[in-house]
Amino acid sequence: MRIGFRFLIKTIALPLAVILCFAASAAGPVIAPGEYLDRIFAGAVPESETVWMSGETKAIATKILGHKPDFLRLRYWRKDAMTVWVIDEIGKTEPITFGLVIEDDVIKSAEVLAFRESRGWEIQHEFFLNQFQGIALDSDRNLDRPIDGISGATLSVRAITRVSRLVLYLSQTLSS
Amino acid sequence: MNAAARTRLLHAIHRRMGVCSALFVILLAVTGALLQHSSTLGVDNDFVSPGFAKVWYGIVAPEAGPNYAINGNLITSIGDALYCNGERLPGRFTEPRGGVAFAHGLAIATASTILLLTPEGEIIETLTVASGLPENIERIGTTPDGSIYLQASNAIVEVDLDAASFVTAEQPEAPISWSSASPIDGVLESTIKEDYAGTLISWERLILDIHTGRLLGTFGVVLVDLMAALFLLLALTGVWSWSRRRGR
Repeated sequence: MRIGFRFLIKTIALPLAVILCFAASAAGPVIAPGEYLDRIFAGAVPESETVWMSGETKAIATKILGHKPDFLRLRYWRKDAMTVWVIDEIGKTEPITFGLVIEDDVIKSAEVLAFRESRGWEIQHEFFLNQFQGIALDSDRNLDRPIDGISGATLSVRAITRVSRLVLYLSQTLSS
Repeated sequence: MNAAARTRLLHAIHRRMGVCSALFVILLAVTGALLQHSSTLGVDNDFVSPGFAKVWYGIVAPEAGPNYAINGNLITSIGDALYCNGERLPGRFTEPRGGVAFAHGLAIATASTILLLTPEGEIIETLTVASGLPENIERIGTTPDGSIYLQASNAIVEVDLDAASFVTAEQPEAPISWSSASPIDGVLESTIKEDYAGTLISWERLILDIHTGRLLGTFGVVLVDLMAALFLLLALTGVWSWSRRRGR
């Protein structure tokens, strides 16, 4: 079989060009936490409250995160049975800011407010974040449903998974 | 030149290109594999020595910035780092504007954050605009009764660090004692500079610069580009040569 120029273009150059077009990193827009809270609470943002990481809470948080928490006190906003959390977690080297809404110990919504890594930005898309809706913790403090990862965004996916577990756990401690 | 001679010439060129590029193929394969698994190998959190960073990158640690003494604790800034009593705090920070003691420990203000620390230097919380903190903090201070104030964009702001409440206020009757920088001990400064210099260039960054040729500057980049062109030619001549043999 002779391989000509046209064959090389069709089988190698064109697909490569298409892949390269999509390969460029594209961090999404930053959502200011104040703007996020305003949207969630429809402008009537309540006073914030705090939960301290100490004793057993800190030990469990360390186990969930896989490292000592970078904070001893985490702030949240509460209205009725709903709590809203804004929390940072490192993906690979940079912090990602997440916003999570918990209601009755179940995630109502999860958003990425700021993404600072050079790759893994795909977790900002709705198709990925929608997986977290309705998720709760099981008895081992893992998410009660598996999350489909995204190739090339493993560390970012793990970051939001850890944060979801932590926030669900803290929400449970508040309820109890 | 007839077809057979052209084919022999092509084979000869292909072989010579292969030999020339073999070393670069090995280098790129090894560095590429290391970069692929940089997190697992831990090279992204391991750093080259300050001496190496100075020689190959011309990077040296900057001078230590403002130093604040708060209740017997020393907060020192250098580059994008903050040190509490000589221990680096996790995270990146802009230059501090001052620090005060509060109920749970220390409060360090930068232009856009307030970092709350325990007396042992553990981070309690980082207050930002998300918590309602005003922007453009210029300084932080206290009154004799322990109330904490900020000056931000020329306004005086009364602060409750537990409730994260920031209320524009009139100048209080009691004078505000604003936090001010104090001289840094030479030994502490040297220790901090050496520690900071040891975190400037990660092994991952070095491997990436070898992989891309950037370690040798423009020359290295051009060399890698030439090798890339060579690899492309190798692939094309190899496939063409194979197709001609298949065609017979």
